[in-house]
Amino acid sequence: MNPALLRRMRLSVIASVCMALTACEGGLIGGTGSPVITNVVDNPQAGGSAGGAAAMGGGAAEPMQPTFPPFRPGVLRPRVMLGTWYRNTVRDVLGPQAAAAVTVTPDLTEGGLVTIGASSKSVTPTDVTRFEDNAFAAAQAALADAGTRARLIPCTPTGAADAACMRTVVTTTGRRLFRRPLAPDEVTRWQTIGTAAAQGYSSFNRGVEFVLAGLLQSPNFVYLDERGTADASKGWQRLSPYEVASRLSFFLVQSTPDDALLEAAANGSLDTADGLRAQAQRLLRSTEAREAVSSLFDEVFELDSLTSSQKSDPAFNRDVAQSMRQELRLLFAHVAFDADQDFRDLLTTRVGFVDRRTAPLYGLPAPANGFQPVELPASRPGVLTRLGYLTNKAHDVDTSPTHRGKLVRQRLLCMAVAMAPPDVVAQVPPPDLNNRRTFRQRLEDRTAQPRCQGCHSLMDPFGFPFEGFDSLGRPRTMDNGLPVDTTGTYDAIFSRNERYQGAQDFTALLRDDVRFSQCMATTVFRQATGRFELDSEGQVLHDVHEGWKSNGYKFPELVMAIVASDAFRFGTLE
Amino acid sequence: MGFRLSRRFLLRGAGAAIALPTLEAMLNSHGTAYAQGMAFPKRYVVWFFGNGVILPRWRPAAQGQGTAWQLSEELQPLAAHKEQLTVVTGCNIRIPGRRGHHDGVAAMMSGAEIFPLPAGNAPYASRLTQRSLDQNLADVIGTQTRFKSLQLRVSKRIVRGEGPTLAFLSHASPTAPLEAVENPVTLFNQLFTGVMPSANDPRNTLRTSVLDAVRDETRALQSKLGANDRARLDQHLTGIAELRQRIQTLPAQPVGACRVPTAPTQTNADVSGQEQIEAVNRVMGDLLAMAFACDLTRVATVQFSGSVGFHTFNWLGTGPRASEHSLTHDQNEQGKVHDSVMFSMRCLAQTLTSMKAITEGSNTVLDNSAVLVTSDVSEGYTHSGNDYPILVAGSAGGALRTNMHYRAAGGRNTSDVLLALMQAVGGPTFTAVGAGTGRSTTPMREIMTS
Repeated sequence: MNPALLRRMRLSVIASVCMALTACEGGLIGGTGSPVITNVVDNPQAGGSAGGAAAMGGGAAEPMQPTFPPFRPGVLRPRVMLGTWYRNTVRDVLGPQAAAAVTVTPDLTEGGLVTIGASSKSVTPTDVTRFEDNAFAAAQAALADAGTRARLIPCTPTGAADAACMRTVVTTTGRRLFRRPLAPDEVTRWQTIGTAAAQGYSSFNRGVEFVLAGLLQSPNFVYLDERGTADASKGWQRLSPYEVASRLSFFLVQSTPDDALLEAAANGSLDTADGLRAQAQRLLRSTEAREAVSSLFDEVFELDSLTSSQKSDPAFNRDVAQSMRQELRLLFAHVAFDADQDFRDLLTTRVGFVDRRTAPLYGLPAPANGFQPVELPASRPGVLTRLGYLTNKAHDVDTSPTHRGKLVRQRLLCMAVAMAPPDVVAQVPPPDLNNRRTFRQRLEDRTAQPRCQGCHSLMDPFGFPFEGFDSLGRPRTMDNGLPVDTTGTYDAIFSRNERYQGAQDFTALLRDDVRFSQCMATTVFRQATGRFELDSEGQVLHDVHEGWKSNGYKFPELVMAIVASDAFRFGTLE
Repeated sequence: MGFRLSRRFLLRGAGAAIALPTLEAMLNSHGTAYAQGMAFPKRYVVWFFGNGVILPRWRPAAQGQGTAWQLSEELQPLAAHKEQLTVVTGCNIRIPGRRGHHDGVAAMMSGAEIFPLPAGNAPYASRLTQRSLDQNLADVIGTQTRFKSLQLRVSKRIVRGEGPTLAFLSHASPTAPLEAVENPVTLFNQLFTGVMPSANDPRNTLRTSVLDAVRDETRALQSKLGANDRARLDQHLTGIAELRQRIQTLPAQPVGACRVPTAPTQTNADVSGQEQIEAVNRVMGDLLAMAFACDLTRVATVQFSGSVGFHTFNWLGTGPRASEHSLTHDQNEQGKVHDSVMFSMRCLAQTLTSMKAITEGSNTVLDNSAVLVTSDVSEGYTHSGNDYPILVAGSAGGALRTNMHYRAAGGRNTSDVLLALMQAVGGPTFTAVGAGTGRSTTPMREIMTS
């Protein structure tokens, strides 16, 4: 049986164990602070007790010194170019006109990240057709622009059949698209096609069109393929300098390596940890890195669903949703890169960004244009008190402590929550006029049975602190005519019995919860490598987190710790 | 099954410069086949709508053929097509029950169980364990047409977060779902704007050379990979081969009933945040019918509304935010669920009308097709997979009985219906469908003519 199948089966076993226990025994899974649940992390590939964020010393009152199995890096699998990567690469190599001419379709999400989905996606017949359409559209748009054309054809052809000049075109653009120098037979293959087209149309430029269109359809472009070379001293594959360059570039700027990075690969400077760090630091200073971080946390906070949701409140529409989303994207980049701050402040910062659409919902004057940074009141600490999260994780009129809490549990603590049993209608009953209750009370009534509490106790207490914000994130003190209750116990299942009163208390507890920073490190690691971490990478993740911690949890330091780790530069073959 | 020349092949042989004989001149005296003995092509369509039906209002009261049975309340919108319709009730999906909605799609598209995937933030996620049956059929009857198969979608509000099972109907392999076209303008351009390059334009020859180079590089990459990734690249190579085939076959020619239709302007864009489902459905149906008449494809899947789905039918008075799926889970809203089923059947009727409007000899495109109409659950409220809603429209060129309500006994396997359709369209080479408890080797003879 193949290993991927085994891993998937293990996941389903974990999920069914959780379901069975919650359904049959009720209450907590295996009892308070039980060792069973510490295995229920969101990673289907973590099987052993030492794997995953939850086992890395988090939660328990007395963290034990973790022990890890011997290091072995994860399996290298070709990743299909993501839509963003594709468009950005076309932009960087063939120009903005070409980028505007291509269409991309939604990517496949696995484990909440499209970068992981890219490792299991197959290129379908529909994709092949789209690749061809895009390739010719991009090539034609690029060549229609005089400036771009001059850059793509760095020689002066002596005529349509000038094979030497065609070789130059293949060599220069091929290096950017394949992210490595082309082998001689590859140059010959594409030059031959280019020259045949140039002769067929009596036009050198038409020949270049077929070269560009061909390179863009090539698997050497379409797949981010990492093979490495066997490293006898380690026993694994060491990624080639060009593969490291690609991995770094798509991770940090979502595009193909630039000339400087390819040069660093060529001159050996990527072979050292220092050289790698220097390139990573350079890329992290770019605007594109901000965009990459915004996109990653856009996925973590599931903001796609925000801009596709509908609400009956007239204050909400697609434009408002778009502004709410943009506000959070700006916040992610701000906390990651500006002011040299602790990334965990994402949960507590009072810095916010408002535009004319969102300012009224915050009760602030609307800025004249664009987004303005503002200092929000102390009652609005961090991302979890901002419109985007509060609105996205709410029902139409009612809030949803369950959805709000589930995001915290799954995406900010990297822990799994089993799905509702199939026979359950997961719906809170509507208000009863004869028995006035808040939404929280109705939710607690509905989920009071032990079979519900098994999972709801993992989610709802993380959502109750935000009951002071309505389904569009506006402050409120009353719900259904009764005072809202924003109090609770932090994480009783894991013996964290601190009481909180409202969002300020809660977000401070969450910010300092080691499981949160471990989860952020794990998430960025997955983004960097395009796969789930293995149990055998537990030590690496532990070290990455410790390194990040000792550097004040600054976001660039997390990136540095990851790219300098052996798990980033080594892999195994299937 | 003997080798038969396709009409397309015949056209290619005739050559573009020669005036083509009219289609009628090529018919036999019964008008049911080409004079050379080639039958009109048979087509297979899956027309899918999400969230099931209200069974007591869906099941016809009496069974039998012709006047022995009458349409039920929820089938009334199909009154104009009763004579082309067969209703099958009493069948159950027999695959292991893992998850509502997911199971139904997998059972009806592949006859096999789902495979759970890491769900991430979603409530659940899965993919199929077998490729979808329309793709098996396309391997047999789709090799000579410009498109091996078509995937269309009307409502864009599909659930993408729960894995390929809910998002897609056609799956070239369990890990290679086929994305659907949801913009009618795009579909029109793909189908009908293929311009025949003039004899001295090397474009298609060069495109083919490029694809051959891409194929060679893909094979070279594939040879270095492990078994799982080799299988992924098999899909890629299949796609390359299909595109190559398409480049080498002719675009639509105005022969017989085939006409290049007027270019649509409908793009399936929302108007004031609302999907234009009825209008989009109408254009899609017209384009699909003409794609068949022009023999551009013989296999299609139409995702009218998504499994679960976020689609809202506001104009039925459902409220601006009530998706059909959320209505199904509300006991007090079952009347609106019924209205939604009626609306979906009205849209289906429109597509069948488009297919019936095109004659082929003494038949119509609809007669020469088998249109399987089904959903992802029996009833949304219960998530049941029993007494599954199944309609078949068209007789697949006389291979299927029509104007009939057949009620199977004993919770018969829905895969028996699927196998009957595979045989009716694809011939006796199909001896089994599905896998595990979903597998069938016993086609439902009761709906077949032989």
